[in-house]
Amino acid sequence: MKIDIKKDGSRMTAEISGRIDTNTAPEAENTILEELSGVSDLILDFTNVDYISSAGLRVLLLCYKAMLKQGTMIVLNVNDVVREILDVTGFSDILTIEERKMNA
Amino acid sequence: MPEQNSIPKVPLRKRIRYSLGGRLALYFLSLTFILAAAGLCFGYYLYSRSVQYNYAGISTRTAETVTLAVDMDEVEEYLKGAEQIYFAFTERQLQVDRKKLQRSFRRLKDEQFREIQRDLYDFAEASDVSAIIIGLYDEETDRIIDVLNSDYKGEYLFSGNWDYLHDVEERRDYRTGDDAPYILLEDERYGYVCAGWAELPSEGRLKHLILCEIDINNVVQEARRFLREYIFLMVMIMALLNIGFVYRMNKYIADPINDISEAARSYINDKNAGILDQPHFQDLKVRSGDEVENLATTLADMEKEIGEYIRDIMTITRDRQRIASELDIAARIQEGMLPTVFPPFPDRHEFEIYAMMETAKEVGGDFYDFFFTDDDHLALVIADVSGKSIPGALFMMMTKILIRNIAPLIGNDPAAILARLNESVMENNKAEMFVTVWLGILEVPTGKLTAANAGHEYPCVRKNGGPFTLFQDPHGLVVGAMEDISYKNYELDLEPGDSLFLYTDGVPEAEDPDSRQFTTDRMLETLNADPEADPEHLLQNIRSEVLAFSQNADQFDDITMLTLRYFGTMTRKNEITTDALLEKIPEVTAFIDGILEEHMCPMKVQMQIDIAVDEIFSNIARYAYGSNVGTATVTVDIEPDPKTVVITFSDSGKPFDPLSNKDPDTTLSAEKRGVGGLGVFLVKKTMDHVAYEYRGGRNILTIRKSMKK
Repeated sequence: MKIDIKKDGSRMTAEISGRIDTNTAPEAENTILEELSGVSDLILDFTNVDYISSAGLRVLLLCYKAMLKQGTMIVLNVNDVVREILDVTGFSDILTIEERKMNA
Repeated sequence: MPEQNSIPKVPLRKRIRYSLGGRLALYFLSLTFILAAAGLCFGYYLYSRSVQYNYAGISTRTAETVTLAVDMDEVEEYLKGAEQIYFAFTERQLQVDRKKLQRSFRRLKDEQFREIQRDLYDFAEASDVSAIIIGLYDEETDRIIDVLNSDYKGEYLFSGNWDYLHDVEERRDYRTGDDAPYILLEDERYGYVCAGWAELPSEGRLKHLILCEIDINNVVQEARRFLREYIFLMVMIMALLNIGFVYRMNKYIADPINDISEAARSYINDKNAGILDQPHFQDLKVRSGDEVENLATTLADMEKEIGEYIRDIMTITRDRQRIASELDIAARIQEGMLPTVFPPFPDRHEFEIYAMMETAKEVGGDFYDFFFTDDDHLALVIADVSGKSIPGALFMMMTKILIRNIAPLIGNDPAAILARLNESVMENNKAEMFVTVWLGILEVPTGKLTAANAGHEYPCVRKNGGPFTLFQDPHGLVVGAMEDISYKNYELDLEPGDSLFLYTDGVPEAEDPDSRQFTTDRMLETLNADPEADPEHLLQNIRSEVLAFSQNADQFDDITMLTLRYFGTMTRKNEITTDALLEKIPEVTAFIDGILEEHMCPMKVQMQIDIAVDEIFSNIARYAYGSNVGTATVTVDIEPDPKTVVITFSDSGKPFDPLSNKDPDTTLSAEKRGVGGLGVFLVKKTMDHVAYEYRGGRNILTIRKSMKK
């Protein structure tokens, strides 16, 4: 798994690629949560995320709870598998999930 | 049975209405008539002329003889006297009153005058002439004047009577051959008369003539009678001749010709009705000894020739039909020899196979074959014989049977089999035909393909989900060309999902109406347009493309194809045992992924399974052994129909049923949500079936997920 953090003022975009599972979730958790100070708009770009397990869901929840105090969080471009997981677990009700086409 | 449809019908034309005999008779009649008429005219002309000359001669000589009968001096005196009287009259006077001259001539009539006339009369009687006239001829006015005549009684000839030579009816002037003038005339009273004259010497203007008239009435009558009799005779003769001619015409020309045309007509009628053996011309009896007989003979010969020709054709047609039906049977025998039932090994799931052969003629020289040499080895054959139709088919059958018989003797060594095949073929290759063969033996459990190629087209291989490409395998010599040929094996490793496509040159060499070829490029294009198609559809695609390309131009070569898709063994258990640690999850996942990919598991399913594995193994890693380290065993099975992934996780740790916990409440808000229990929940939700049992001291969790999305 790879995470690419891009900051633009108070907006932070985390481009994640690969899987967020038991073994990679801790790294994701640390990397993102560390950078959260001063961020009011968090964008988690899931375009290249293959899938997410319950460990990953936990990281999502942590980020979400953190951003509740600071601003907004958007999860971007989830694929079918991730979508189904978010639906099944009720997370799609909580999170803001969006589809955005990339600029060429 | 004579095939009536094969003999074309000839329409009969209208018959001519006019008869040859009648026309010829008409011509003959006209000809004889013309001849007779010409003969008659000419004969009559000659006859009458000769008669005329004869009588003219007589009358003229008689006239000349008159000078001996009377005293010419006295006659001279009277003539002169007459002249003087004549000259005293003017033309006009003479013409106004013809009798004037007669009256004035009375002066001349003295005794001597009358005596002379009597003498003339006697002379005329003695000479048997009608009348003698001695008179004057006025050339200027063309006037003859009677002075002395033999009619002394004065009954019909009158002295002083004058006439014009040209004034009398139908008077003709003829000059005899000996220059004796005469007059031929028809007198109203006396009929036909010939008058010859003799000239007397005279001085002065007027000529002195002696005219001697002969009655030629009987001559004329004779002539007429001659004409009548002649005509009658001619008509009789002509009638007889014509009848005879018409009869002969008919007998020797018209009738034979009619017979011939009748024979031709009934020949045509019989032929149209299918009756072929009846002689028509040969039955004709024409014995005219001329061209017509020639015609009849020639037609009889022709009839015989045509009859034989038709018989030959019918024999040939029968033979051809017989051959065609035998070819039909041969084609069915050939069909029966090739495996055509698909799928041929329904209980073998390691591969799918399909093949087809279409022959250009009823029987062909291509074939394919496949058979198990033992439980684990599948032999694949595709071959193309150098000839077509019957020779090709026979050679093809021999080759196919040889391969099947040789393979078990040699074993799973394609090169050796081909070498042995070549030996056998060369032993008996009198026709000097050869065959290209590609032979491969697939070790089904491992996917290892060993093959050898004897001059056959390059096989097409599709590996690892890529496109079909031509695999340029090493070529040995075609089978059946030379003795002592050896071949080389090569190996291809087929992995699950890989495909093999074999074909004969009929596919790339198929031509369109402009004689352009289909080519291997187009063939590969078609394969790669739908490479995932199941084998049957893959071949149907090629077939449709070739048919469309050739636009149904006559297929000139056989089209044969064989394709195999390898799936690998599915019944083998895949199992891994590792320490039950979180960091082992990637290894286990990779192991399972590998198996799933081998079996073409769709990506989404694979990911769902990965998540499930993550969750389940995490649980085992965290809780099964407490603070100790134990092992966990994961097994993966793929059930074939429908394709289902079955994974079991087993460990020998604390007995624990992960399914026994309640599902978390997914409706809670974010603040209240926890992530505990979500893992198993996810597994339950994404897998088709989850089961737990504790057996043999082990926790066994089984998940099932169908590969269909």
